[in-house]
Amino acid sequence: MQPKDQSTPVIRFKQVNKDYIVNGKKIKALSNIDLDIPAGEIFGIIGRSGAGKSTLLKLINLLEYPSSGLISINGVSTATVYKGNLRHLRQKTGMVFQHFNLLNAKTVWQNIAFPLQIAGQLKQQAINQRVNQLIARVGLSEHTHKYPRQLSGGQKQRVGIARALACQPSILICDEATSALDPETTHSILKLLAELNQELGLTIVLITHEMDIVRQICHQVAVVDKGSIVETGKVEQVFLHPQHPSTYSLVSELEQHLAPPLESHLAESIYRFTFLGKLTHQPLLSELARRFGIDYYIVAGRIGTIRNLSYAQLTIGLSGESIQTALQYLREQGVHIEAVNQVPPIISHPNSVSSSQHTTTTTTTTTSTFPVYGGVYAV
Amino acid sequence: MLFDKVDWQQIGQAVLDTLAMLGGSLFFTVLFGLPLGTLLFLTSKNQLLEQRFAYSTLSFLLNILRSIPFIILLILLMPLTTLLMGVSLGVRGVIPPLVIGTTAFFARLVETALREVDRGATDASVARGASIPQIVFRALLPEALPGIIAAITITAVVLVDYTAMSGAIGGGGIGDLAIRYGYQRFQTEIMIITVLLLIVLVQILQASGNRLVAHFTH
Repeated sequence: MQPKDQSTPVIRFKQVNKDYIVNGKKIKALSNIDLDIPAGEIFGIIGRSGAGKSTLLKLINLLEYPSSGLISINGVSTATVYKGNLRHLRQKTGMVFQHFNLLNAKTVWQNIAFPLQIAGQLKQQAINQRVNQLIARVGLSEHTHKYPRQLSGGQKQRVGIARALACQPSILICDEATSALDPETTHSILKLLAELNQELGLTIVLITHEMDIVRQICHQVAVVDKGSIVETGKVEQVFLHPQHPSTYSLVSELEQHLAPPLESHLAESIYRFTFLGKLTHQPLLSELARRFGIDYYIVAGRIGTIRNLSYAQLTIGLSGESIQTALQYLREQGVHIEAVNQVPPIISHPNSVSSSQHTTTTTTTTTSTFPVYGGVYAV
Repeated sequence: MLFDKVDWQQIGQAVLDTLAMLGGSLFFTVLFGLPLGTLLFLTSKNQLLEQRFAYSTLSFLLNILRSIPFIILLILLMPLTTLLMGVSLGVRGVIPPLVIGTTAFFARLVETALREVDRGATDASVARGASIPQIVFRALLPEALPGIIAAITITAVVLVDYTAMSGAIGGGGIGDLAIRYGYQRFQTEIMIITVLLLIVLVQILQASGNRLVAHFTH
């Protein structure tokens, strides 16, 4: 787990806007971005292509400047950075690319030494030492003198990561770093990133379009849609209780089984229970049946882990006399409960909502948290 | 025998002259063409020194040079050659027109070779805080090396062709021999020998070029 009391965020965006002029027309790439990325966290930025992720990334890396607003990195406003300084600042921000972007004419060793040689601050001997150390850390000692074409995708990305870390940056930006890799390799790369985050206290900004990546290693996530941040928060919160349709659709891509079978309307009440951490190992449902005489069946559910935190989120149909008392008991145990009168559809098409209405009568009055997916609300 | 009347010493001298013209002009072509091609690439759209005016001016000038037939260029450049080298004839006399005639061509090939380099090489270098000279000398040119060697090979073959042509204005070398003896004096055997020599020369150039490209492709 991460230290929670960070002083100033490593990266701070304040009311940042970015416009591009294309063929004389102003196009808004980002609007009113407020973002705080705390030190030592793995922070996910998720969105579909064209949402503005890449622009956001270029702003952090000082490849682009904001049209208005303030960006500060390690407490220094980027507006005050001058040319020589700029290159130094870039050296202190590591960058890992989707397509690795290695130099094919250089060996693994030379690729990793490259940023150190550019920075020109270390003597040859110190460079040798640092490069060998990095190669060992990413597990490529056997491949030191190979060329990128002789390596697998995962190995190439390890070189990319070692290269990004060469100048001992405080921030590592990963731009879709695993999108070109198979699932197994993706897992090993994510594991490496999580380890580096722990070992070096490195702040990692992970840009991705896959919620699964975020689920596996991020602490916090910001969801970008149409140039704005539409949702941000702890991953368990955003992942288990998505508020914005865009977030919902990113989550549901991962969870193919959210929709209930048609019979679900038979239940008197449908609720969504979210169990986190220790709660997932307690026999709470059978307790529900025994102590309160409640029958239940499982409509839909997802069980897994968010980083190392296990979760279970079950959509459950209940029938019995003392449902409210039982729910009160569960809430006291720490279970998060939402009443559901309409289980959101798998695909987030607003049109498909009306066609798949599974309205179930509940005793409480419904207050919608979001008009389209208004079926879910806390009770 | 057919080859009885052939003066082998003369042919030997012609081969040496051709090699001298080839070597000299290739050296200067690369010397001028490599920076020009790199500049052309860097000022082109979406590159590090994007500069529309500079690019189109440079591009226009190079195109002009490339559109003049070499044989005309030889004659047009005679005054300049005399100024530079003191002579407008012989091996020394053809080097300036040869260099001018192929530099534009070579610069275009260099531009293309650099364009073939994965954009990621530039992106990664910029993100690592490299300066433009560092990117050019440490990333772009090394990455483009096989392409540049291939460009040098093609240019060398073109130069063989041009040196032969320069024989027409008294440049010397194999081409000169072919024109004076093979063509003007109807000595077919000289013609055959010169053609064979040119074929061998081109084959050697291309084969060694290919080997170097393979060696530097990782």
